[in-house]
Amino acid sequence: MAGEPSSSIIPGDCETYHPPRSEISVKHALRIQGYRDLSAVREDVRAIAIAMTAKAEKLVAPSATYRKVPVDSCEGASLRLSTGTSFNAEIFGQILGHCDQVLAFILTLGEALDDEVGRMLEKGDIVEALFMETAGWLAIEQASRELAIHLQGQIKKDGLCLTRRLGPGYKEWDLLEQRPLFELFSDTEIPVRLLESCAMFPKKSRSGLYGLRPLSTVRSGSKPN
Amino acid sequence: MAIPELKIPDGWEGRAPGGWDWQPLWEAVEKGHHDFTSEFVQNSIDKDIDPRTILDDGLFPGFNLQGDRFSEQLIFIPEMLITARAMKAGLALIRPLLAAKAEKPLGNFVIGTVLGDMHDIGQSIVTIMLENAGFKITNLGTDVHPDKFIEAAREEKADLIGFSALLSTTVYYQKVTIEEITKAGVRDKMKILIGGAPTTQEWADEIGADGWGKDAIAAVKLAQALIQEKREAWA
Repeated sequence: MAGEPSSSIIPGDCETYHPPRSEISVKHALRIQGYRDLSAVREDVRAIAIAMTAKAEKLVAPSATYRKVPVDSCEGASLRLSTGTSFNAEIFGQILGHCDQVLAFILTLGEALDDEVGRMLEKGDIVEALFMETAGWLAIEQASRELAIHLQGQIKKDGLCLTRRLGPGYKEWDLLEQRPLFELFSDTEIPVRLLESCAMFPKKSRSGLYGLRPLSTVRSGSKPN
Repeated sequence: MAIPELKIPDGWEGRAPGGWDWQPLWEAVEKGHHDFTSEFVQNSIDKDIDPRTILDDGLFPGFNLQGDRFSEQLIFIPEMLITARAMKAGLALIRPLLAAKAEKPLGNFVIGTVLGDMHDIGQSIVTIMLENAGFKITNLGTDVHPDKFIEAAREEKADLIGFSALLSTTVYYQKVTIEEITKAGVRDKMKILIGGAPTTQEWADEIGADGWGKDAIAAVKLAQALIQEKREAWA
């Protein structure tokens, strides 16, 4: 349901959104590798960075699946959803305290970039693989931002805003809780597979949830996501 | 900050044919010209220069210079990898000759990314650096179960084992992997190194690792030091 936000999300419905592909910044890719003075970057390094970011732009196919789920209770570290799903992380009480609903999502860039990085590593083109991987990281960051903007647009008319993003594997939220998170999408086909260890495939994928917080609870002067 | 300089091996002239000059190879490795490096190494082999001499006098100076520059943050990972690729091209030609002379690798090193973690670039970078430094590497890839680390360590009679983790949650599996290695009764047969963005020396100490590499060059220096330390022999 890409495009202009015309109606709010019906609670419980599974939605998909394809964040627009956008330009991946060569400068940013070089800075991530440690280059502060971009004028001093060796020509061969710069050439690889330019070629790989351009290639990555063509390979990524951002796609997000998301669903709104009412919160049953959020006490301290424990979050319980209306589906009966439970999550546990210290951060919940602090972030989701004002939220009656959460928005769970799974976002991916697709398999093509992973495949290309794998081929490059096999060939021994490790510098190319490094920049391709870096470009992929920038692309998933960008897609995450686009998704947040899209979701924000969807919920604003209901007087809600997004909390910051939470995800298993970050900030003391155990990676193993990917399983109940993915179960929230068990009735729909998603382009991301959860491995036994709870790592995601394709690798350039992101999962998590946002709390949906009434705009009225946002202190004046503080910015919602 | 000291500006690193090329360390010319003492007495190299005595180990090379008359009129020989390693300078072009030092520069080729430093700048990462892998085709030229291959050609020069092949030419050195054809001139009957001892493969150990080619490695120590020909390949290492340029590689070590870049390593020192990296340690001083004068260059970054991409330049280091470009140099490493050239070094690898030269090594590929002399490694079979070293093996034929019964020269053993510096040690057997098993490496991988811990369970739940799919990041592979970092450990691939460490792998290429360790190979260039003379270690025999068994790279298990990403999302590696502790049992697989133990199995590979037994199979390879590992001297060193290293696991990386790039997520704040998956670093926990570094601890689990060490616990499983200990339970399997093979902890004292190898030295354990850890690395990865969220890891620290404190974390390494806390989980009982033998060392922490903050980057690929640090990991190589650590491995070179740890390989000298006493370990229980494999049966």
